[in-house]
Amino acid sequence: MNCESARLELVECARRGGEMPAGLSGHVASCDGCRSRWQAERDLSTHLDALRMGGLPAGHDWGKAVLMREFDQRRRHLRQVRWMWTLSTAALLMLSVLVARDIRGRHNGPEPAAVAQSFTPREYPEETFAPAEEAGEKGFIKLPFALPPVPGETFGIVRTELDPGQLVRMGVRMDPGWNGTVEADVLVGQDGLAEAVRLSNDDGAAGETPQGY
Amino acid sequence: MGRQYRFERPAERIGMQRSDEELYRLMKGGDREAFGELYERRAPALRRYALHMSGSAAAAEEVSHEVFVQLMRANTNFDDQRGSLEGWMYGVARNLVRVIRRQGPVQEPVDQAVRHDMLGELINAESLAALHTALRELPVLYRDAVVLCDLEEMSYEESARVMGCPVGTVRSRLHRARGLLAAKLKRAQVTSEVAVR
Repeated sequence: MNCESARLELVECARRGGEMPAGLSGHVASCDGCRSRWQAERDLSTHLDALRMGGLPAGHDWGKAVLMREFDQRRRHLRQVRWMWTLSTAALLMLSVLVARDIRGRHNGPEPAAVAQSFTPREYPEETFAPAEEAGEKGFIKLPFALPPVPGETFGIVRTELDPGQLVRMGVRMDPGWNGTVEADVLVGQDGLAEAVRLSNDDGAAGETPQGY
Repeated sequence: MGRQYRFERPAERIGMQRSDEELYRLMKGGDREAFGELYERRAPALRRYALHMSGSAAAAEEVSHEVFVQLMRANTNFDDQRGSLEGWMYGVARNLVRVIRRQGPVQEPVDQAVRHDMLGELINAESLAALHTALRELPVLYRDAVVLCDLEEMSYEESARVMGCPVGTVRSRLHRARGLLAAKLKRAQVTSEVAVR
């Protein structure tokens, strides 16, 4: 056994704290350097044992308490975040379902022209809207379903584009084959509801403009 | 007919213990008890490790506390595919000790010599203090090896896992570290004897 391998072994032997194997003890007995190293290693092991057994300053009890409190706080926070995520996801889901239904409803809903076709026209007496006539606004036709004007009520005129479905709903008889829009002045009462309508004649497609009454 | 008793063997008890990683998973799910168990299991060793590495009881307390605070964080970088939780904890503790030591010399000497009684007659307080000083003066990698293998009594394999290096490296670091420590201890003892005379 040479000194190098003997020193490797004697370190392990000193760490274990046991007796040296016969081969090693024979070498240590005959080699001053290894004997001195053996003494130093044993001495070191004793000191390290003392250091280990010296123990640890007692941990503060509040150390754990503080950590547990912090853990609880974090857990609460985490739970709140999870709830918020759940609620937001649910809200988003509901919103998307509503939007999807709305979009599908729009796509699947009857075309304005189809509304005009499916609507059974009723005959209403053609009647001009007296308050407009008196104010010099000619050509307004009273909408059949509108409530009679209240004395002293003021009206506004809104220019807009109406499609066949809207016109039919207002009581305007439509050519079923017509599928366009027409400019119209809508006379709106103080309650925000339409009272009368005047179809514009400068549409260019005079022959196709619906007939109002 | 006598009553039958069942004695639980230590091995069975160990077998029933939940692993650190399992406790960690439970803890992440909000299990307070799992966190408490993990703390009870690992905090003393971490505190001891930090104490030997830093030489300050206050720093040791701070380090062990901070390891668990980091463990609690939602974005903790522990991955059980890459290593054990124990290794991760020691790694964090080691980094924290380095940070503390970089901030300046540790002022508070560890006065362990006066605390132990069993070996009190064999080892005087001065030589133990000298060993502690020598330990603190060792390069970090060597000190790691001594603290884990000789003070924490971990096997070479466990130490290698914690230190993230091969077993052979741990062994050679430990042997060199012990050589350095033995030499310093001898020098300190000689100085002490000369001073006494």
